[in-house]
Amino acid sequence: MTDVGTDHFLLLSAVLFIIGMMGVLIRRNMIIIFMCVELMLTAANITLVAFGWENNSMSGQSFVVFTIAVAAAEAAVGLAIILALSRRLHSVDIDDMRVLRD
Amino acid sequence: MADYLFLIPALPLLAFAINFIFGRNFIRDKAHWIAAPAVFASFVLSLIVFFNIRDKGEALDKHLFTWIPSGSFHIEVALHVDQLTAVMLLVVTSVGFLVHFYSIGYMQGDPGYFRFFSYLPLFVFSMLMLVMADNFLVLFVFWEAVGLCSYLLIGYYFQRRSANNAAKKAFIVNRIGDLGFGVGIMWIFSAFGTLNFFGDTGVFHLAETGTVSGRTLTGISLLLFMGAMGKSAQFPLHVWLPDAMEGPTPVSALIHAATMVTAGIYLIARAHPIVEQSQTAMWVIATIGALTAFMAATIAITQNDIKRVIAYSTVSQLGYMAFALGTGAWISAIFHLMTHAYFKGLLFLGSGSVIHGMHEEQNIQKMGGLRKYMPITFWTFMAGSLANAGVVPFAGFWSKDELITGAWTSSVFPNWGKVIAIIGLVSAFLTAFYMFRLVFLTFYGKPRFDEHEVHVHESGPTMTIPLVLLAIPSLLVGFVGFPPDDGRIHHFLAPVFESGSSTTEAAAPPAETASLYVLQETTTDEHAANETAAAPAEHHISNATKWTFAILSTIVALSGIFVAYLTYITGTISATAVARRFNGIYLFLYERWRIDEFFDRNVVQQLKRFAMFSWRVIDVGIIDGTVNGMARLVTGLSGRLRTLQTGLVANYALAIALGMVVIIGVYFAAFSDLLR
Repeated sequence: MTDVGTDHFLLLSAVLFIIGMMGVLIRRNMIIIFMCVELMLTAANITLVAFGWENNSMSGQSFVVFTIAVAAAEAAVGLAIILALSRRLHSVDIDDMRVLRD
Repeated sequence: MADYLFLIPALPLLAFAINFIFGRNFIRDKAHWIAAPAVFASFVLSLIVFFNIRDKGEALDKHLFTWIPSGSFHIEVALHVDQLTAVMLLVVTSVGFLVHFYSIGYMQGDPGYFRFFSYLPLFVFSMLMLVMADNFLVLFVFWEAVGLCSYLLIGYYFQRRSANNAAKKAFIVNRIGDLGFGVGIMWIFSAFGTLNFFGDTGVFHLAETGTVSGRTLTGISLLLFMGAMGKSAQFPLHVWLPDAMEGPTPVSALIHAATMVTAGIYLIARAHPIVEQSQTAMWVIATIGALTAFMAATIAITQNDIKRVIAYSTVSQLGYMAFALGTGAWISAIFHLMTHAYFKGLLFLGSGSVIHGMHEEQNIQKMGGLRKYMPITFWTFMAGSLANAGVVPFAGFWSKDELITGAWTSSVFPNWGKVIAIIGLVSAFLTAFYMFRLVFLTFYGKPRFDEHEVHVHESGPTMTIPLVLLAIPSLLVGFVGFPPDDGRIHHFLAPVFESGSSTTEAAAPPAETASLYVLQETTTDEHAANETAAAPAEHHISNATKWTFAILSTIVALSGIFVAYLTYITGTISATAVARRFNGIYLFLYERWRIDEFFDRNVVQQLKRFAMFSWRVIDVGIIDGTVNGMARLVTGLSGRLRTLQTGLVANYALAIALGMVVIIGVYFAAFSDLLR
């Protein structure tokens, strides 16, 4: 088996990111969109760790700790917003958020 | 003496200011107490000035102030009164005062009384300054000022559409002439470096000493005459004068008979050192003058409005003055200007009296037999008509006869002058005819109106006294020009019209050349100084010629009167039959040679079309279109851009994603080494 190099990590990260982005763009359910955003964040984390591993440096991993904390906080706030919105709209369909449009 | 010169124009100006500012609320119908004495005072001062100049023989100068001190373009406002100006001052102030006096009665009760008596002295002021100006620019300023006053006074009855149109027409046609005048002044400055008339560095001296090319002098002269054509109603810029009869009759008498229209004649006479150097210009002036004289006379025989007949008569007489200038008879032209001012002013004021007496009726076909109702008006009108027709011994005879003789014996145009003289004689016949047609139809015969409906009355003394006072010079003032070419006026004005250089003519010694011409010197030799001071010595018209023309003029005038008598008193000749027989010609004359129609079709309508084009295509289409188009472009663009803002979150997320792709792509393509 070939050695696992940085390229593989980056590829994994890219695939995850794209899957996440597609999810954000295509899905209608707000909670699913959120989950995909988390996916994108995860992809970024993997990229950071990969480069840290390649350069034998701890900076990559330490930065990831911060991003995970931020992601958690952001998820909390985001879910709170979705909750408030869904109480108004009685739905979690993102296409139903059209107050600015109408 | 010179220090008091400024009072002559200043008093009427003051009268204008007072009446204009305080007239509406305070002075109202007493406005004549301000205006008339002011003009009378100017008249008295003009008399004093006249005698002063006559005794001393030299001009008066008074510098007032510097107007434009701009390096080499230096314009002073100064008053210069020489013999020519003195004559003009007398004419303007005397007729001016009598018109003011007459207007007290004529304009009585008119709501704009104070306005009338503020514009009228303003006009007198402008005209006085015009004749006293000593450089072209100041003259031009007051030239325009008299045009303005004419506009204001023609449009005096401003509630009438026709009056407003006539005022506009007068000013605009004048302006066309002024275009030429203005360009001429610019050319004068460019060629001579100065605009001053007199002095060794003045335009006239420079013109005489040959510093400027002949072509330039011709061009300048023609342009100056263009200004004169507008102001003095020469063909084809005469069209404004008959329409100007919309103004009150005293205005017609003062402005359109005696003074403003003579400004053009004055200008050419004043600028004679320039004009006489150009044979071409002289020819043009003489020919147009003769044409004008003839044309207006032919039109006058068909018109039915009393004022219009007199208006065309004015145009015709101005034509006489112009051809006198053109044939070199300078003094005769000024002499005729003077006599004409009096008898034409008289005729206009008389017609005003008739109109007043007939309760605003102006059509002579509806008059008749007024002799017994308005005797003073009748007799004074008769005096004016006799003078206008040129019957001896009235004033018009002496001056008109001199013009015709002068044209015949012109040293400038020996052959063409004879043609002009003949045209002058024919026009004189017509003049006598139409004047007495007017007299007979108005005052003789049976009344062609209902005597019970219209109560005709003679006018009051404020109107009849000026009529009588004007009738006196109409009879007598001709004698200042007696004997012909050798009278007081000829001697008085001779110093003005001498020249220092020889003109294009060789002085033929015993030949018949008129003495009123520029006293020519054959060479620029030392005898110059002595000769110019002497009375006309070498150049005489022979007595035989003078008598011939005197008799000829009288025959012509009397036959004109006789034909009118046969037509309108005895009915031997039937006017309607003649008109029917020569219907084509009659209509041509009645419709005023169709000149107004010609201008309307070719000039006015074309200008209107151009104006509509400018408005619709250029202004609305292009300019507004561009400005509005810009706005429409912006709104269109923004309308389309607006569709980006869908309000849908998914679209915004897509936009972020796409933007990210673009940025990374650009980075890869341009800045990184990956794709190189």
